[in-house]
Amino acid sequence: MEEHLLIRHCINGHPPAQKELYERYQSRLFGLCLRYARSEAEAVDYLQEGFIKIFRDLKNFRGDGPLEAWMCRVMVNTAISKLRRKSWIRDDTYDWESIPAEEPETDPDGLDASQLIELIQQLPDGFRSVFNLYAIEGYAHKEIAQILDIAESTSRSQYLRARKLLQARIRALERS
Amino acid sequence: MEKENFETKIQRIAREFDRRPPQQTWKNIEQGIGSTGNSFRLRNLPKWALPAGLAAAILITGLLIWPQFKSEPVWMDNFWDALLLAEQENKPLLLLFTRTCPDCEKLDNILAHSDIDDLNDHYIPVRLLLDDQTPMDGAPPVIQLFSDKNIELVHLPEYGQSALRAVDQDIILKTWGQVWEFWLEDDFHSSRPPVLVLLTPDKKRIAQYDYVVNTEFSAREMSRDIERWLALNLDIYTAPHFEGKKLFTDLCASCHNRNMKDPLTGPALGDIREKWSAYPEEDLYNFIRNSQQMIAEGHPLALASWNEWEPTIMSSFPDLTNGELKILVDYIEWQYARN
Repeated sequence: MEEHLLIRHCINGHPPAQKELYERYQSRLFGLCLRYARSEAEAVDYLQEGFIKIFRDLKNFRGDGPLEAWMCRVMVNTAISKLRRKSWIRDDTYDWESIPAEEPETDPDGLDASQLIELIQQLPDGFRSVFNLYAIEGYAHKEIAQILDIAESTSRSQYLRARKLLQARIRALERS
Repeated sequence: MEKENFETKIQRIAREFDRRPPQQTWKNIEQGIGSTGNSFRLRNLPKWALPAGLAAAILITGLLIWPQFKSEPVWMDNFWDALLLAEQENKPLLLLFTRTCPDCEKLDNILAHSDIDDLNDHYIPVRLLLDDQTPMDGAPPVIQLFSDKNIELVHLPEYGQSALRAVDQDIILKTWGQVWEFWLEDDFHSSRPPVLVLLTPDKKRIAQYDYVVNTEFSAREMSRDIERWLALNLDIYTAPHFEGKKLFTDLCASCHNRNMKDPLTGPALGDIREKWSAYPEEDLYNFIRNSQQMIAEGHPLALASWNEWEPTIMSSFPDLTNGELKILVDYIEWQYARN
């Protein structure tokens, strides 16, 4: 079925169309949720809630960009709003001084995707959100500051720390 | 260069990453969206079922909500309805600028447990959600909200809707959330929700309460503080000559005595209109707007006042209109007569 037809059927609440839409995008969006979540169970939570929002708000989708991008945005917002409820930035007590000083750049190409995702998943909450939004979703720090309700400088510093920590962990993985 | 390499590689790997979620997931989603599925089946019901069902639902919700009107402030979500109500009943609006954020949640709790509802006969509470994604789509009364008139309606073909543009700031307001956020920044000079604002029915600010400024309070203290703040400002609003009093408090009270009888940094103002009565009232207004200019131009009364108070220079208020100055001087006379 063509996508715009599929969307229309979904808006009309046609169950087989809803299932079809879900099946088309489930893997891709579950991959996204895994990056934001701490565990697979949490990612399933995000995915469920996100899809419920997608079906509820699909009538607001203007068709001014690819459906997939819009769905990703809804999913990211869902994940972030669930994470945001815990005021994690301030509580973040991660001892980042313990990360070794900058060494030569690591090359993530040596890793396979699921290893990399696992490493991202293990970042502390604050780092993970900022890292996902900046490096992967490609938001600017200014936008991230708005989304997470933090200062722009906080977003920058969180990102740099997250990056440093991730690099250190990639290195550790490569050595082992 | 290296840094970019790391980021682009991560981005490529992560964006391509996908994995099948567990089987059970779809069942849960299906349950979650059950209501849309039902509306599909509703078509088989007789025609009168929908209106009758709606009427029953409204009746039941009405009965459920009704008792709450007496006990808790029921925040209205439609600003324009609230404004209309405020105009009709001549009551101030209590605006709550809020969004999904930890501070906002805390304030919601505080307000829910406070006693501000004891006063709810005296104000109209309305909640403005800064993360409201509803397109505002060219609702024209929005323009009336902004004090500087550098706002225009533009049509955005790429979004298929019209929006507001702040002319000299290159900001486009597309959703209601963005409109409220801009209003908060532009008129109330605050960018950190939650903020409470008490507003007259003709949209003049009476007072505002910024949560971030008061974070040193415990929840209980803040609840009391907000109750006091609200009661005090509702009093000010209902007092006669409210607007004049507000102008005086904001602009004059730092130098001129509130009792209008005794001098402070500047002279007592009580008999000011009488003093200037030999000249057109406009002269007095011009003196208040820019006293130094009047002195330089050699107005006799301005010079007399300068000789007495030199070298104290009165601040200038070039933006005050004649209407505002009349309200201000009326208040000064009224207050003087009372003391």
